[in-house]
Amino acid sequence: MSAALRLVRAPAQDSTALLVGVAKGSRADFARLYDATSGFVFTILNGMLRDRAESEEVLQEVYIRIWTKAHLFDPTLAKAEHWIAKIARHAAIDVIRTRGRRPSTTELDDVGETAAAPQRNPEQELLQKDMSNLMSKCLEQMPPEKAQALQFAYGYGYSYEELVDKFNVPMNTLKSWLRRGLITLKDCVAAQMDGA
Amino acid sequence: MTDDALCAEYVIGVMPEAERAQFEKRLRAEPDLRLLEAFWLETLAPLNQMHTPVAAPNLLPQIERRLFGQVAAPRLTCRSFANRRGAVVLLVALAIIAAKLYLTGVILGL
Repeated sequence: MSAALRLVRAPAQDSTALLVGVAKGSRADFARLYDATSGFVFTILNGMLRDRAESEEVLQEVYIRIWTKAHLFDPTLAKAEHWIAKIARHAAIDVIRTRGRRPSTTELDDVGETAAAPQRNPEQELLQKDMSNLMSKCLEQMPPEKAQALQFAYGYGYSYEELVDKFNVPMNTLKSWLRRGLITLKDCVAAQMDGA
Repeated sequence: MTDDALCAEYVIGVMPEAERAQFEKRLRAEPDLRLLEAFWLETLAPLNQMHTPVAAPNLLPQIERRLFGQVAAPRLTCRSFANRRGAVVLLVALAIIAAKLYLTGVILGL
């Protein structure tokens, strides 16, 4: 496992207990949850928004949403970090859609303090980041353009329209890429889990 | 589109905002849909690790002020505990010195 992955590992399992406490109105658990998960959340926001000041604003918004929506979290279905990542990603996507622009190359080079990674633009990051072995294997089984479309949508909040522009394909083709890519991913993950 | 495909779209984030709001209403009402959502959240979770890690600023006081309308009482951290303990030790030491000086004065008849 790379040093970067060790640094950005998902929060500990007890985040789920803390989130359940937050749902019951515990401000102490809310503070502990912030301590346990804010690095994970801020990494996602900074990676998607590419603007530290904006990421700090959205970080506040994310924890306000966590406080107000915690009662919707079901610990029997999902892990806290997955639910929290969803809240964070959707908050970042809201900002990206509202501002209606992507960072320029210069802005991409100015992203805040990083963990010694020289690569700074999404394409390079996609190639060089180490993800879980299982996910990596499954993405490798996809045609490269489908895997990239999926990662740009998930990791950088690209809309269908933006993906159409980026990959220069018709909308129907792009949607088909994503759907087929997801089916491949789903089958691959299931096969890997069965074989584990 | 199947619910499975809709769930995947929702989790990935490509769903337009209005559709997302509608879908979240369905999620609250349909347990089977929440199961599908949980599956996709878990399946795609490794992609959360694709970004360069950065340290988060401590914005908890601002968040608590926005949520609760006041600054939360300072939390008892190891450092504050150590500071408090240090202050208590200093006060006790000063009290002992003062008592000794007083008793010395009494004994000497000052």
